[in-house]
Amino acid sequence: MTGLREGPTDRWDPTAPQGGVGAERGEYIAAQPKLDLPSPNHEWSSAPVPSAARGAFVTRLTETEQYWVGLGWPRTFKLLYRTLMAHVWPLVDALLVDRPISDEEWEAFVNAAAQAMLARARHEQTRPQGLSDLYDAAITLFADIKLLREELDIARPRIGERGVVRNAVGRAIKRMRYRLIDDSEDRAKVWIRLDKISRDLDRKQPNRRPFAQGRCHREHFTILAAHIAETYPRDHKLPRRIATIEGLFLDHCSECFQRVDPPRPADPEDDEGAQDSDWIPAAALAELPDPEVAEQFLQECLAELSEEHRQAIMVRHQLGQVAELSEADYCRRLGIPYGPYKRMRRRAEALLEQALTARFAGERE
Amino acid sequence: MTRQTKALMAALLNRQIDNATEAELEDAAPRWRAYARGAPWTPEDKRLVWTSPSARSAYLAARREMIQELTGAWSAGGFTREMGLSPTGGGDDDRIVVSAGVSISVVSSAALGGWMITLELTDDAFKLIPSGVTLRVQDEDGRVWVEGVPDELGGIDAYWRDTAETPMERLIGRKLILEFC
Repeated sequence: MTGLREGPTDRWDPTAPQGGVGAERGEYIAAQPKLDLPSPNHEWSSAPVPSAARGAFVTRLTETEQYWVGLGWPRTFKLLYRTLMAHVWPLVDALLVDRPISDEEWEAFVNAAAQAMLARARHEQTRPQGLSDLYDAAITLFADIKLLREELDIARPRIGERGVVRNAVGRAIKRMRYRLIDDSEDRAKVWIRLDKISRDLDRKQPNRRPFAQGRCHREHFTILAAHIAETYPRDHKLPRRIATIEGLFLDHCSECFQRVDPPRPADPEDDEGAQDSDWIPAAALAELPDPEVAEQFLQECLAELSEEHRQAIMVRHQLGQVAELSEADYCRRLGIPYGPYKRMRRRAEALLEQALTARFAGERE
Repeated sequence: MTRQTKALMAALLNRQIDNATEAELEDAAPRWRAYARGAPWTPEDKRLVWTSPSARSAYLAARREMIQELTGAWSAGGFTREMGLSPTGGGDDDRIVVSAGVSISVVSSAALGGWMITLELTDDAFKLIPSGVTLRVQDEDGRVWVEGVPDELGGIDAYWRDTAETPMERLIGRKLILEFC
């Protein structure tokens, strides 16, 4: 396997196909200024991207943005829905005559819709009680606007029937939300459900902790795991293991990020994952043949990763010069939220695992 | 391999997608037992065990089975896994722990600034241990005294660098426990 390094994308191509490295959300955000739009005060528009953060992710998801894609979602949805519906009709006209949407039409639509939102965001900034945060969140969501084109293409055979355009726009906005929450839409859906169940459960607790302490403690995760096992015994999409629930909270819950330092790597002697039949505890590695050769492979594969990917893994696993740095400290140093860092680290781990497995399999010298 | 590297390696291995075929796994199944008992590995099986979670799981299951059998054979051979301070021991350079099959000596080492701890197996006890099996001696509070694979003479060496507490002081009122892993 080759090509572990990922270079930053230098142009935003609204016509590029979805999927793969080239379709990652961060890249669209990074290159968004190609739209040549004035920005009210949005980070992706003019702020320089920290050098260590270039490449696989440059997403800026602030706490307020997390609110607007979480508890405040109905309002965000309504704003985006109205904006898109107001500008989508030229595209629908093309689809009605069974003609694919041209790139020019698509760019004109994106620019018109973005201009409308930016104008409104500027207006909100001038109001004492303005909701400029909401517009900032909507603009962040707009980075995945290409999903609308996908949905319209899917709906194309039924364009003209009642509600088809509305549904396509609604579905696209929901998918934009999922993509903002997590790289995987499925995982984002799981988190949204888990978050709701957790909030409901927290409200019903007889000796509920003060809100300041939030839900971000292991006791809550334990209760939540038991509640899911009891209430949703057949719903296997919901997580059941406490460690998985904790991981989802650390990934997505802004309260968790603020209140607790992300956990250090699991204790090598920790046997928590042993319930998965093929799970290997770190302590058992010495029982495998030639562990020292495996370690050498690992170091070689680590050296092939890009700098930011290697740093993310080393911080997580307390390796090398950054061993004393917690993940939270690392994020603060780079000025990035925990969620995007976590997504980048997961990507780095995936790349490293692929390289290492290929090395074990003898596919690479 | 350091503790942190082990954690990273385990995290990566636990992400692997199993690409081994049923036929490959079935073919290798009888060999895991032999490998668990010290048979030399073939390159193909090494590759399989590092790339396939199912193969790894099967091999580790064979290892656990072997450890269980070894523990049973150890007891059946009249050897004990719990050891205490020898009635005659207690000096700085002495064999302080002796039990059936195992003795542990502590030798003061000025050069190292601590003590060298040596575990020795008797010949009949050493014969029971398949090659590649790690022996670990720890006290009741979980502190590991000696850990490793016995050399060709059935011995394992370790160093005690804790200057706040000597091995002899540590052993007062505590037992040592031998584990196979």
